[in-house]
Amino acid sequence: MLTADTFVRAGRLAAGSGTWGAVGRTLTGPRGRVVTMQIALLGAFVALWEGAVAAGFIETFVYGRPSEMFAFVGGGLVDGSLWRHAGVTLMAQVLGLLVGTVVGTVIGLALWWSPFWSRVFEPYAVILNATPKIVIAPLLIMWFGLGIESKVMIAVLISFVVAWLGAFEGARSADPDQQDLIRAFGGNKWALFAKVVTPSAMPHILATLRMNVGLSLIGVITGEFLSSTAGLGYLVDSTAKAYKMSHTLGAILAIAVIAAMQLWAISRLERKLTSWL
Amino acid sequence: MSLDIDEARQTPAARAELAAPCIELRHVRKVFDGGERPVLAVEDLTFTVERGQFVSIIGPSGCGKSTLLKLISGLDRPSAGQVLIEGHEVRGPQTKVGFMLQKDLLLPWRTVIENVMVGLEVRGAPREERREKAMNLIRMVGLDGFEAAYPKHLSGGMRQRVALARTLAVEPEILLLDEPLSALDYQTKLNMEEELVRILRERDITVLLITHDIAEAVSVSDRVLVCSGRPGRIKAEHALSLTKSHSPEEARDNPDFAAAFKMLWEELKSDVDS
Repeated sequence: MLTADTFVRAGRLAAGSGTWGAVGRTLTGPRGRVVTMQIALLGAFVALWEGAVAAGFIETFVYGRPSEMFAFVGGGLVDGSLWRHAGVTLMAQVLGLLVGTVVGTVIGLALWWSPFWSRVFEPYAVILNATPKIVIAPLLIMWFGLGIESKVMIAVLISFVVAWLGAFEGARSADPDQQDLIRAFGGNKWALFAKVVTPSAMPHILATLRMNVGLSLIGVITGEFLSSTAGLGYLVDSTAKAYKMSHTLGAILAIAVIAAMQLWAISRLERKLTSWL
Repeated sequence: MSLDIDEARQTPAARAELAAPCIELRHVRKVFDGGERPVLAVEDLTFTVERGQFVSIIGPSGCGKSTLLKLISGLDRPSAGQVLIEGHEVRGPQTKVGFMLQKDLLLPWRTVIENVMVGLEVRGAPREERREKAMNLIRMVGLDGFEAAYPKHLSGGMRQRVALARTLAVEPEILLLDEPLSALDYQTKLNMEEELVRILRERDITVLLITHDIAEAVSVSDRVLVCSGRPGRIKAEHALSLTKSHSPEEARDNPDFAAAFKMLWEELKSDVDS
């Protein structure tokens, strides 16, 4: 069983919020030097790769070539094809993420109210959590078709389970003494829920949201691998099968950018909602 | 507070209420069924606290201090016996009763002022009133300028000041203190003890302090009850006169202080030895 701490720690680990926060700031000082070094390393890697291809050490056909990758991405941005693929994937993933997280969080918090129902549901949650959700993808494609609907459903399913467990553990982690304090003031169960339980669960909820960005993206892209006619997963799959490695790498770059943007947005949200931590 | 005038206006029932002890415990017993072996926390606990008194209970750890506090504040019910506040049996959380624990229980996601206001919020006080009361109390405990700070930025002493302001915001008539200052360093503790006693006496609040610190009990209390180890029972009771017109600091300098301290220490020790 995942514990409350696991969620928060996993969230922090995945955060890398320091790095993203630093980018916008000054490039002098210790933090600026770190960012400068990070950019330099990336640049050196790309340059080495490009050089190795140009010098004939490695084959473009097998490993791709950075200049071709950038040309593909640039071209796709100009003619709109990359925007279209990214839009399809982003739409399915963000929609699934939001629906799954909201429904899962509501259920997880609601179960705090009833020890009976939380005990009834516990084994389901544990088994659902332990099972790789992606194995249901072929079924979901059967049920919801080849279009975007099935990908949304994959993302919903994945985010829902994680959000449910995270919110439930978060609610359960609320300090009993703090709850006694509210009760002593004459507070009813609603007051406990609003003033202690929900705020206590907030860091957990945000940590699961962060985990779910990556997980829902895996879900949607896997769905696109299985069967689709558009989306970044489709682009990766189709270009790789056509041995256009530079194009595949371009699609992967786009996926990385999409994930990073969302993590950045969540960092902003965390700073706003849990600045007290 | 002019009791005579108030009393003249009261109905007979209300007069009877005023005549009853502020806090009364009658043969209170509390058992926790901890799995296979039930734990007897307190047994046959009987004592009264009169209105406006400052009473301390001292005892070794394990004498059921937190149990007692939960029973009087109505957060828990006795297994047998009765707990009465102003002659009425306690059946749930009491709005007249406030408490302060060793843990300050500040909500970390709330700023200082929001923490002070939390009780008023629960009670449904209007927004303007909440702010005004909270600001006055924050000023009183010497934390003006910190109202927007989060608890993580405060020292232990400051946090207990916030807890005090939060407790006083709902104007309790009875205050239960469970070693609220024991986590503070000695210097801070003495200063806050001084301040706490002054504030509580000014407001005519009935106080029940639960502590294992004999010096603290002697320097602040009108009466001291000595409690035995598990299960908790009252084994002795002493009226003190050190605090009548003295601050805790002056009480510590009083020649009677050492005698009272020694007497209580002997009583506690006999319990630890046996």
